[in-house]
Amino acid sequence: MREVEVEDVWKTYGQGWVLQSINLTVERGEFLAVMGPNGSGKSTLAKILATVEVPTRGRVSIRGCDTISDSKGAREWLSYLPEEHALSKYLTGMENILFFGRLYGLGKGEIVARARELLEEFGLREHAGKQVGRYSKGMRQKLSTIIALLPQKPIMILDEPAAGLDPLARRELLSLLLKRVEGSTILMNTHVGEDAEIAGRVVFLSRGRIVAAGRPDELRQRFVKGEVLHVKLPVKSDKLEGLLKSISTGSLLRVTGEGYRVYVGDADEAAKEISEKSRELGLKVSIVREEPSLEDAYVFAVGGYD
Amino acid sequence: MIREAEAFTIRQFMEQVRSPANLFWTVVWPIFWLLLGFYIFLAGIPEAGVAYARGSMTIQMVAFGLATLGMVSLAGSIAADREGGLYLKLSSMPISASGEMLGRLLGSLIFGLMAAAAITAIGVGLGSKFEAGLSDAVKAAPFFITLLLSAAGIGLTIANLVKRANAVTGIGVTLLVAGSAVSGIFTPYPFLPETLKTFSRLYPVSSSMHVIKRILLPSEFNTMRYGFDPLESHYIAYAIMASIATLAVGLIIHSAARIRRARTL
Repeated sequence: MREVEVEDVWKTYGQGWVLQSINLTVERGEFLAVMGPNGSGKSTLAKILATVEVPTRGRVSIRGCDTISDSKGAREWLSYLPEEHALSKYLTGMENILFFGRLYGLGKGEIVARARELLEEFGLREHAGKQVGRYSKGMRQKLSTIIALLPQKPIMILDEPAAGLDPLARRELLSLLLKRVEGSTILMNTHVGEDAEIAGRVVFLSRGRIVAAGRPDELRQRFVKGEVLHVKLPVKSDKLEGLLKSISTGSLLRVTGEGYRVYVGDADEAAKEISEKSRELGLKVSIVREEPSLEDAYVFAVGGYD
Repeated sequence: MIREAEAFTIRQFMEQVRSPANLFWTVVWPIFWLLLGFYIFLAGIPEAGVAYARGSMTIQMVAFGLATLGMVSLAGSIAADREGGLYLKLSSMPISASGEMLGRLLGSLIFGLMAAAAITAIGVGLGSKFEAGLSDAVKAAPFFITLLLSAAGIGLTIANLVKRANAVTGIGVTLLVAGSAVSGIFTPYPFLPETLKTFSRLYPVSSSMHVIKRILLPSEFNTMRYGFDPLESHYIAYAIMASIATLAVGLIIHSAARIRRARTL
């Protein structure tokens, strides 16, 4: 059964299109990740789905409720986790939960019982009485997630739920979230391939357009050509970058926090060449062969990480 | 609407109680001026009139505290919530928008009355006197509310016309201080030049204050020659209508901003 239907949605704020001809269907119980860099239109799409904004053209329905003509009906089915935390820094964690619980029409006993369970699971129980102003970023993310889970809505729209967290904290938060939302329909925005891997289906969004959609393994197989080398070096080098581009398939190269990801036909041969050339340039590099990631697939799908 | 109003009343009240900046500007700062006034500005006043002069200053500082609450604290809290994404979240929830505003106003009102009680208690403790009994205090109470509501109307307008939270607070403080300085909240009305006297009678915040003063300190209006009687029915009607109109403008701007945010085309 279709939970979310997006038909030919376009969005502009006056200058250029933020979203262009978006068509998307999400089935009941499906976990869909929308992947793309900042500015690709992910948050705008999430806002439209969450009935916070209206599309300039096209229509969206949530469980059959049109998000414009029956926005109230649509809102009954969904829970939205915006990128901003929407928390009050002067209230404690529990008071923030109580505030949103009351807005959702839950009774105090019910809110407290659910909150205790969720706080325990997310490791925030002992911090529940602290003012949110004293929370770390990770704790705020967890609290916002708890608040999104509180009303137990069948559809969850999560806009970058793990943004700004270190890889370990991201993994922890997402696995806790996954455990809790089993059976729900989830649309999650992310710019991190590793986060999108946990979804059943991934949509690549680039400059407001859907460029590809499929299961994570399908997307990797369909788009990544050849093998992947991660060339790590302490300081970035324009000369090496030029060399790597000349070696890489289709001149595609992805800059990482540690160096570059290079796409090659024959990994052994390419590793040898990179090693020799970098030695000639006086650069000390380490070359690691890695499995293709969703981000690699994205790079191929859009012709570069925009 | 009831559940939204309840949630926002609690939230607004708790935020105001726990915000050090709010406590400072709405309670500590007026008390500081009360002390400064009592022991420096009113130092030369004859003994017989000091207690009532202190009473008058106490009312002025209560008015200043309530005006701060509406024009700065409420405005700042709305702007901070907007920046923090609260309105995005609320727009995705099946709730009534009017409950939010009612709750914010009720939360501010409860805090405001407590702040007013604290300032008055300090004033009375330090020798302020009023020429009023309990029934007069009851008569004056609605005008503390209209004073706060008119300040809240100005606060809502600033919060929704100015984008950044920091700028909202800055503009709120500027208008508050400037308005208080020229409307008789800082300087007693009889000492204002004629033009400012007119402004003071018309400014919604000070018009409610004049009515309060007239109820709680009737002799001040005789001895200091105010030149008008705030208890005349047309002035009372004006003070109430001006507050309601100012609040209504603020509410309309706030609602329009919410609708614009929620339905950006």
